[in-house]
Amino acid sequence: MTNAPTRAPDPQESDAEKTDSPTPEGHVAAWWLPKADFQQLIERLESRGYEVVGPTVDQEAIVYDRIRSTDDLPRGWTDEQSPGRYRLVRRDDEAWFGFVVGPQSWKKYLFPPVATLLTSQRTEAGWRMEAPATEAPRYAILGARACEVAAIAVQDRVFAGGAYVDPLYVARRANLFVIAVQCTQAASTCFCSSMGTGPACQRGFDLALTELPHGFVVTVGSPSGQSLTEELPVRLATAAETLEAAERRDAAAAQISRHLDKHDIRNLLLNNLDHQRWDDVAERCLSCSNCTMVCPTCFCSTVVEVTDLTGDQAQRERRWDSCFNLDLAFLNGTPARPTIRSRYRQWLTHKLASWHDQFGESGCVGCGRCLTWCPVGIDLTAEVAAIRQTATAAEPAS
Amino acid sequence: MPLTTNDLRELLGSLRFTGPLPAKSLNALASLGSVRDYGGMETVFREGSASDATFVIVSGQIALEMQISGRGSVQILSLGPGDMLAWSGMVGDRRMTATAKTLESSRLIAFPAQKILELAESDHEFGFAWMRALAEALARRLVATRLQFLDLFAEPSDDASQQRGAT
Amino acid sequence: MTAPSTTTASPSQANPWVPHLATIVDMTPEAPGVTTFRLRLNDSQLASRFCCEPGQFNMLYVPGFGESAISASGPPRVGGDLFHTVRTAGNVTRRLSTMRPGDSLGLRGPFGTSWPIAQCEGNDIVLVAGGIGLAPLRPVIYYLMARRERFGQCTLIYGARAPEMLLFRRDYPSWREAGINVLPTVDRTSSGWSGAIGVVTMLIDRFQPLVAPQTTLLMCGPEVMMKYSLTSAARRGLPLDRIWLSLERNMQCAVGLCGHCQFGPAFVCKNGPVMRADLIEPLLHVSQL
Repeated sequence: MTNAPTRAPDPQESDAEKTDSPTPEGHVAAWWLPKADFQQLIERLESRGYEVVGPTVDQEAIVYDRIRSTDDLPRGWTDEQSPGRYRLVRRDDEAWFGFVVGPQSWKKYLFPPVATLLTSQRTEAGWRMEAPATEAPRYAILGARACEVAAIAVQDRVFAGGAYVDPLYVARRANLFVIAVQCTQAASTCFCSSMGTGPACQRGFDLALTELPHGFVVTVGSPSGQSLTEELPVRLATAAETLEAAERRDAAAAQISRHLDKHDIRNLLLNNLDHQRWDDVAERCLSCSNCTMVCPTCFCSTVVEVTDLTGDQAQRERRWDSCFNLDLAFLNGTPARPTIRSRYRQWLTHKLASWHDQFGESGCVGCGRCLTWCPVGIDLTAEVAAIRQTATAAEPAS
Repeated sequence: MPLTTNDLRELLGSLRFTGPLPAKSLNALASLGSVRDYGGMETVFREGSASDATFVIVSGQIALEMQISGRGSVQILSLGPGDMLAWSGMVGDRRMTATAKTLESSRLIAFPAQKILELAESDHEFGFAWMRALAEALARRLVATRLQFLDLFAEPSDDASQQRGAT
Repeated sequence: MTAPSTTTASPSQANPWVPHLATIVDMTPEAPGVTTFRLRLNDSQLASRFCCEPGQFNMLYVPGFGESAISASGPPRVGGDLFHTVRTAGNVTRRLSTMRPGDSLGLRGPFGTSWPIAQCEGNDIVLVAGGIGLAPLRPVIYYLMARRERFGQCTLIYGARAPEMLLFRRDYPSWREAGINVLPTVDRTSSGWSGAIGVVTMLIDRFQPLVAPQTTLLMCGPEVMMKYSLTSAARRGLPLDRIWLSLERNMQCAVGLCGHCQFGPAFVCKNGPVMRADLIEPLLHVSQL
């Protein structure tokens, strides 16, 4: 274990007045971490046993992968997004986090696409069945956006908030270190402000970073985050730095151009299950399930039995599934939702309406991925607006 | 033991098919109706015969059968207390579409078809009430027949593609 | 939509994915393709406190083949053997039907909501079942027989495809003797049958005496059958909040996490399978919900 580096000298030695005044954020202390020292953040996390994962450029998109060095980050890249369109474009600066969200979400680390739930072995004494003994990985996610942090909280409620708890999720979640990065811009597909999940990230992180040209304003969100800052060459952020950070965050909010009117949306959708709009969208929707794959809160899965030729060993493997899959729901052996119309309706009403009944909140965090990655550019904010226009009067549905 | 017209009227008022009819209609029916008692396994009417009566069942069970060449006599439906029997007395070709046999001792009230139809022609209020009761009974029977036809309890086939969701 | 709580499901084990081991004690053929399994949990301590309430189900696991959700179909007794009536319909149940007493399998459960029988004490109760749907109601019949004096009229209206498909037929005399009015009916007759022919809605229409609104109706069968039975019952004056259905959807994880069994906002495995009719009746009329 290396010696913890000494803190950089605080600017109060040169500017007593500034350090006495409260930071624009109020009484929460903000730290400053220069970009030159950022690599130490990664190294300190690794020495604590974390695998640091974060955004990287791959196959012309920004996806999440192992981060070993700040060189792995998408420096100088930004994303242009609109319904059905995603392009990576060079920025005219070298911002490290100058983009919003890509086709992946952090759910692949907490709720992995493939996971073994059970192994069974035939022995002389009969079957032995046990959960896999592997230890849960320790991930430090670097660069989580406010909407993504909100999505993690939504999945917390799904996987760990009810009568039945998924031990795989809980173990990975307990090991998770969250470094949020505050958005300083918005894509045209973002509508987090409508969902109350952003663009500012105010909770759910260990550390939150706001990027300025030469470094980051760092706020601490947990004791873990606090103890990590104590190992880093941070100093108190100046009032100017915190002000500029606030202005950059405000710029993100100002750029948001898409909105979802979620007034009484649960009753609106559940009272209009036979609305004409479901037929309209069904003519466009390909039932490709992209939206459910990129969505950070979708949680449908299927469990398959995997066995070897001897039949003496078997495993139960959980894999991501989608409500757009014809094979998801059955009634008496035949598909319960045989039409695209019924499957699209299931997806949207679950995400925006039924989720309220099930979990007490919306399933949507307004990240906009489903708009971007839909091959035909279906925009759920527009679908909801269209239903609202000619809806049956919304009384509370049963 | 013969029933008085008043007794009959009260009885008709308590049965499901005739109960909802207005008082005047019940009076008219009571004056036209007569009680018929059957033992078990007795034929009430035969398929194909001229329908000269419509019935309402007071007690017991009646099975309807149709003759299918190659299969013989096939029981298709059973009726019980409160059900109407022999709607072909009122509508259709006036020929019974099934044979009716009692499964156990049964009591029916019979209405002469011709007299009922004449009354319906002359008294439209009665005619409407009677026909509506008939239509509603037939509607329920139609839905029930559809459910029978849908074969809801059919055994799953071995063909995997038809039952791919079955575990 | 919040269903009134009849849940007696408990987080059965710390890890809901890991089954308990159980052994087949015996197998009773009930009808072509239908067998009742009597199972005993290998862990006798667990067995002594395990109880599957009427209406609840277990996930039966055959390693190498998969799991199948099967309702409890036997006497609801804490510590008693577990009875599951299985209809051969797919890979897992087909494999199950070839197993023998002494074979072991996995069991996860108990899951789901249960029939609200205790709330019906003092009143009449009518059970309406179709096909394999009688199996999840049989525990209710056992319960009623054991406490017969606490209930009013107890009636079973049961429809099956044909007389040889009527489940538990050999039990009907003992049920009748215990004061359960058993009214079977078949879609198509066969020789030797002198009972009712036609669907259960016809029997609901003519059922006497029906003292609405105190009577409770418990229903289990194909969804179409239940939908029209609801109509018939409502026409007889029964309020929908005194009617309970056991819903059907493919259940996989059984703990509300895989999303397969959703019916509107409800997870059938968690908020059901037993649900009160007034809360779901509108949903039954939405096609392909």
